[in-house]
Amino acid sequence: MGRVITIDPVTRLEGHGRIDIFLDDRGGVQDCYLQVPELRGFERFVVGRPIEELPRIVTRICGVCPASHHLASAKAVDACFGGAVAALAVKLREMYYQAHFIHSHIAHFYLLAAPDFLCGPESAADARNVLGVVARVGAETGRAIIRARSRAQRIQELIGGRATHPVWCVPGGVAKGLSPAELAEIRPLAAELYDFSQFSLELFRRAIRDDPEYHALLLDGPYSLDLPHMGLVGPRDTVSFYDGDVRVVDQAGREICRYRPEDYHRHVAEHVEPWTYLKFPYLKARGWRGFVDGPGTSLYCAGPLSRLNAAERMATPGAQAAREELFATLGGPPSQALLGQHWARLVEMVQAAETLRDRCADPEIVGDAYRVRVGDISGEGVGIVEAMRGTLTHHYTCDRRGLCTSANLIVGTTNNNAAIQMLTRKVAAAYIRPGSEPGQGLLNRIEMAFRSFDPCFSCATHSLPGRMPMRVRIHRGGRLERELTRGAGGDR
Amino acid sequence: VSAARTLLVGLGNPILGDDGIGVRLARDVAAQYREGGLEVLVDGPSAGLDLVERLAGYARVILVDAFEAPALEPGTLLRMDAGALGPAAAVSHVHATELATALELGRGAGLPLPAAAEIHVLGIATRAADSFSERLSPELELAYRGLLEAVTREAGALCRREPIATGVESVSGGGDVPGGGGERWKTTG
Repeated sequence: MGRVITIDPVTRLEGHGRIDIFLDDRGGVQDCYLQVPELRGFERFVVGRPIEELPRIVTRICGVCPASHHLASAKAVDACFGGAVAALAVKLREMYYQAHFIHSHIAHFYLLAAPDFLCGPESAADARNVLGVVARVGAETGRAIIRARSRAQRIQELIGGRATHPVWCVPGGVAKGLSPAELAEIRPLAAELYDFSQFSLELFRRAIRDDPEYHALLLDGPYSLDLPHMGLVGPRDTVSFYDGDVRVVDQAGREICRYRPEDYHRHVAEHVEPWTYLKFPYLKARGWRGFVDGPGTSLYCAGPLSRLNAAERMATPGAQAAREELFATLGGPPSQALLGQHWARLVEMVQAAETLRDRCADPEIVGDAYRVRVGDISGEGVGIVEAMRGTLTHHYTCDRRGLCTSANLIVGTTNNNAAIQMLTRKVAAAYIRPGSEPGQGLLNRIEMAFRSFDPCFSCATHSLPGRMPMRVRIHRGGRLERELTRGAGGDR
Repeated sequence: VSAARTLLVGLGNPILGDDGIGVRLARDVAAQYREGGLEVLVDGPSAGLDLVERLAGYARVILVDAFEAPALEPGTLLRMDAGALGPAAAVSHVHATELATALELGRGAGLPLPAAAEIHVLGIATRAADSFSERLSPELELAYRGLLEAVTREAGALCRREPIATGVESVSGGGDVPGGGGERWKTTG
């Protein structure tokens, strides 16, 4: 029997995960599984409730992307009531969502991703965090990060009433409009966020793209898979966060399929494995072909880089220039350089900031026609938005009284479940060699594989007093051979 | 902003069974607390910088949250201050950043945050919460009245700036409590 390496829990990941790495007798990687606890019973929890309550309930599924769930749910509920939505409400929802995207992308880039690059994957775990980033780039940047996040938060409050656990969307529209005074407050904040998005891109260029070691890691490291990509596209096949068609392109950038939300079940199916509660979506037309990439795969990726891959262009000029720059370095589109997802996130931040700025200049954004009377109950609705970490689908049915009879959700991370498993295994195999002992730096490089997806597995759990945010166990022949811990006292 | 203000924050997910007890306690403290000097944020951001930004301007903060503590009897009240949490500790979701890190980042950015010793955590020991429900487990429901009284009492003492002990206190009538040691406790939300 070979050895087992367990990383438990995974640090800087939404949720409490554990990686099991199975080594063969020679010490090479035989297999690798990422296992995460899944919250259960949501479908049962919502059955029997008035369908219009669901957008307010689903914000509790996830503390990280409440707005994504709120909006996808609202769109599904709109459809359950016949599909009519006020045009102004669509604009306002979209505007709100840009601020949410910026807020979330800042958190992921600066708090989760940047420490790996700006502090270095080999640095001590207790120094590899946002404080290490600030130490590297300066206190003023630390202040700018805080300020930008609070600006994005404030914009959400001004548009939607509250940033945390929004209760704003109602069938056919939204519960409040935007006043001229609120718009006047948003305008300079949006301009500031645009500047911050450009600042962040420049930081990426300087500290990561132009650094020979990181440049090589982006392009030549093991962090790539050969998979199709999924993303929502708007008019002229531009990257869209709130609405559009779902488009999937193959490894050559050719369109494999394109569908409206209500047709999702014709194109995507979910595979079940006995060792995890997580499901593994795949392209239905190809059938489940296992955890394989390459030309014959039925798997796909979703998320920031996938959105850039699946679209033909960005929706705004500054973001388009940034997209061209990204592909000039990474190759593509499509690019399979999955660490480039961090860069793609910043390109999206530019688009979100530009869209916000454009909406501020729209004379029709202030008005009272933000809700329409809903139609008869249709009994079924599907809502799709792009969550930060991938395409998010909510599908509900209800009875004639409007009481929920079923709910099915494919959340952003779920799209990437198979890709995360495969990439984690690939990176583990690349860095754990027969005869070498896996150290903390190597283990962090494995974590970087799934951190690139910004995965979000259920609600988080955390250790307290926090001595062991990560545990690695190495077994041989069923006996504990070695234990590595990582915690407040540093690595040991 | 008054320097003497104390803020109590309920953390947790109200539709995740026992994980929601912090929110319920905060709501009930807000409804029944009569002494003044205490502000309550019933259902605020649960983690990281989002949470820390809401603490700015307060002299003292009390965070009420469920803690997954398999070794303790459900309903055991855990008292500690943020200074004891350590840099990798909890009261956050990992997507954001740990509370201690977020506090340090916030201070570095000039936010007027309370000192770590003035950030008090009242944790309620629970079993794992992994299923959606608006109800508490029978064990926590049984302990709830006692917990509400204890949390109200602690909040009052903190508002009056009376010294408080840190450590573990059982309010569930469970007798000896295995405190300290090496067991891991996890927040559940």
